[in-house]
Amino acid sequence: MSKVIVVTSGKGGVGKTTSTASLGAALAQGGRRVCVVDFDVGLRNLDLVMGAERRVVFDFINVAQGDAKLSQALIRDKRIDTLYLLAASQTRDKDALTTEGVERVIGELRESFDYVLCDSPAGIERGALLAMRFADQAIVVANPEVSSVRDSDRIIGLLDSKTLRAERGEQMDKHLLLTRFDPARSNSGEMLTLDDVLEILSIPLLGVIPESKEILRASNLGAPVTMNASGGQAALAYLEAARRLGGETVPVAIPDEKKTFFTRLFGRRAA
Amino acid sequence: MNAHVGPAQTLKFRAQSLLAYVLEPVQPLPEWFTALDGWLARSPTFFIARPVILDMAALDITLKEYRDLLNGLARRHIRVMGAENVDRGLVGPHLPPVVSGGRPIDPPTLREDAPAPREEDAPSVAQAAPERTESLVVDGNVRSGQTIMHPQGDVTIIGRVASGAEIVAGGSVHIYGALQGRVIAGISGSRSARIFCTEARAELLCIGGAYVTAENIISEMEGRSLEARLDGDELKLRILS
Repeated sequence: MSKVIVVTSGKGGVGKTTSTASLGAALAQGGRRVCVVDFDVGLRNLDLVMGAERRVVFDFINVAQGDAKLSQALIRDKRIDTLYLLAASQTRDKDALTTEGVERVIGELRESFDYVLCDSPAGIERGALLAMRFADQAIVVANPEVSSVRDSDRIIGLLDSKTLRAERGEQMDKHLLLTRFDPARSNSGEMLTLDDVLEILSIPLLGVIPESKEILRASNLGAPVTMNASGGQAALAYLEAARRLGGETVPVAIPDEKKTFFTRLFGRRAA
Repeated sequence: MNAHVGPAQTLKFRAQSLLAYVLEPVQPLPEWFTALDGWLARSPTFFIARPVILDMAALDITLKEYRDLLNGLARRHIRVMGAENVDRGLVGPHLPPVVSGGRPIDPPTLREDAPAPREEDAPSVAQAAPERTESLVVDGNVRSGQTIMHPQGDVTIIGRVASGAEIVAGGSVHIYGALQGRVIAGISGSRSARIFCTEARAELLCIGGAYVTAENIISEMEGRSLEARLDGDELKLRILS
């Protein structure tokens, strides 16, 4: 049974693309057939984060409009052979993506993959609505900060009204992925705590990903952080989140402040 | 410590239903006007002081012809307060506003010898649309950007009302959860409407036109169980234990 999961947030820059790539890689490493799909027409990013930017020949719109077959457009990852990418178009207009075209492509993807992860663009306009329309589940990505959480709340409202599942009266499972979590700033009140965010959004938690330099490095290298053995805490958090997606029960470890030698030496407290 | 807050300004507004007469002009318009004149000859005061709506469904006319039609009606002392089924080209700032959603009711019969509308006509007409109050219960959070619009009566929310969400009710509003958005109660004109919430962090509280915004809600009330009600023209807030 194939699962179409939309990775959405409302606010931009919170970690949708990074999370789509990291989770996709983690799921595929477990042997599942995974396709990550970029819905950001005009500002595509997923191919960069996946390290496939020079291999894009045909894109989503080509397939949706019938100019290319899905098999021609799918880019197989060189490191994990059950992981594929369907890139977005960079030169077309957003309106080139039609509901019928998206429905057809998603339908075709369902036939060959266990997981289809849809990387939504930011905002609540056409691209974001199309990315969520045919999804079975949603991962709502948020930073522990007020404007991100409010935008995510808005997106949750849209997931409950603008998707095919909502229109049919079916339940759409939504999970929160809290990214760029900084325990020091949460404890000091500079950023929201996990409990604050859960209280406002009231959806189950998929995972908490700590703020991490490894993620930026991974994006620039074109290798999702879960592909590296030395991905650090962030990679571990993504791997655990992927296991939860797969149905396992894994207790959520909230990233702790790490007391380094220097903070102990100089007695500097974060709070 | 004062328990009530006077609003900085009062904006009175409410929802109201009234009876209007719908005229359906047909082409050719000169002939229609002749028929209208015939009716007016029998009952010259029928349309005086009565709100009239034009149903434009049967007309295919230009803007100039529409203005001529409105002028012709004005000369006959017929004042058009709205137009329905009107083409997009016939909408503008100096033209009748577009109305829709009217329900048909049986009009009072035309009495040939009737002078201006008598007082006893008014109550029977008002009964044509009886008041019905219904209560709406929403089980779940109201998300940012969503609006719950329920002019028919009370609204109860079991969940939180997010910042950027809005509840508009004809009657009272009861929120079993945190209120971070906006609540407008009593739009039916009911001055006994109240607003209740278990955790007050509202952006705006309004009952029947009297409102307070977040700045005017004193800090002691933040996060508490709150009741808002009207006392005269002022909104009074009370902490519920």
